[in-house]
Amino acid sequence: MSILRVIRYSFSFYKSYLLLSLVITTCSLWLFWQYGLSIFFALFWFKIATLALTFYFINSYKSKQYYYYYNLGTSKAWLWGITLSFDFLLFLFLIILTYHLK
Amino acid sequence: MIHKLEVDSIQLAFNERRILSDIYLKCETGKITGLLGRNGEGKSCLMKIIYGTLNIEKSVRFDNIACYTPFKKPGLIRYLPQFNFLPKNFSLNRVFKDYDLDYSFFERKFPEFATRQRVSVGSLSGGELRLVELYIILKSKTSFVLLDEPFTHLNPIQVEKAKELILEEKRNKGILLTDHMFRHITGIADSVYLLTNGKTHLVKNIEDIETLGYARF
Repeated sequence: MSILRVIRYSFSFYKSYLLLSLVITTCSLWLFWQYGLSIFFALFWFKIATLALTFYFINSYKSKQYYYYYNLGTSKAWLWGITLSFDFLLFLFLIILTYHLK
Repeated sequence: MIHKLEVDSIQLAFNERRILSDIYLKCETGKITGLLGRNGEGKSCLMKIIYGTLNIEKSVRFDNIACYTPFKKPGLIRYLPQFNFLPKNFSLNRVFKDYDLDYSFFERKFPEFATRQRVSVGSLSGGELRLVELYIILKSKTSFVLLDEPFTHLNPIQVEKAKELILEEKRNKGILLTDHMFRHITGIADSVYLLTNGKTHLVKNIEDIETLGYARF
């Protein structure tokens, strides 16, 4: 299976928690804009914790949907690996961008 | 060429209660294999074990080659679980595109879905949703399909259409099928296994089903 397909399926999966994640990232960016570097480590761990909670929530309440992706040849590890990495890297990128804009 | 799926050496227990212990099952392309059993006998677990999403000690072989995670090979096997698995926010168009299927063929087969490719999965009735799930698993490119209670939520007309679809696809695939509507299974299956007390029994004639305590005629 092509990597492009895996990315497409992963993005479809990502949409199941994209809104929640964007809200958390936006709140973190606002706090970072207000308080600067002093709050960075708190926000860092806050983001990690919310991603862990998201993982727990999706695993508990939307686990049946994994079969949609299994039948397309995409494992749970791939779905989470790609989407969590992307989400966290996006968060870091936006924090750095905010730091330079401030 | 006929392909063969064989399963044995399965040991499954929950809280020291043995569920599966003496299993042998064979499914071949071009044939429908039925699997019957009462609630809690382990039919769905057996399907998940074959598919690889329930990870326990087992021997699942495709053409005599062992495979431990068949679910990672959609060209080899696909699985219709007994629950609804399509994401509710996806459109039918999206689902058919993901599974490389042409919606117009589906429309022709099921006119009630005509011009509805943009509707979301969540807006379908239980029967319609089950029919879409069954169709995409059955019609997608793969050698074997596992169908766990495909007739659930379907009305009698839809059941007949689903059976037609299964019979049509048996030309291209090996189909392992389980459902409580056992007469539909015995009506279309080429061979039937009955799962009782953790063991599979190959049903040789319809009386065996009564003898093994699954149903009364």
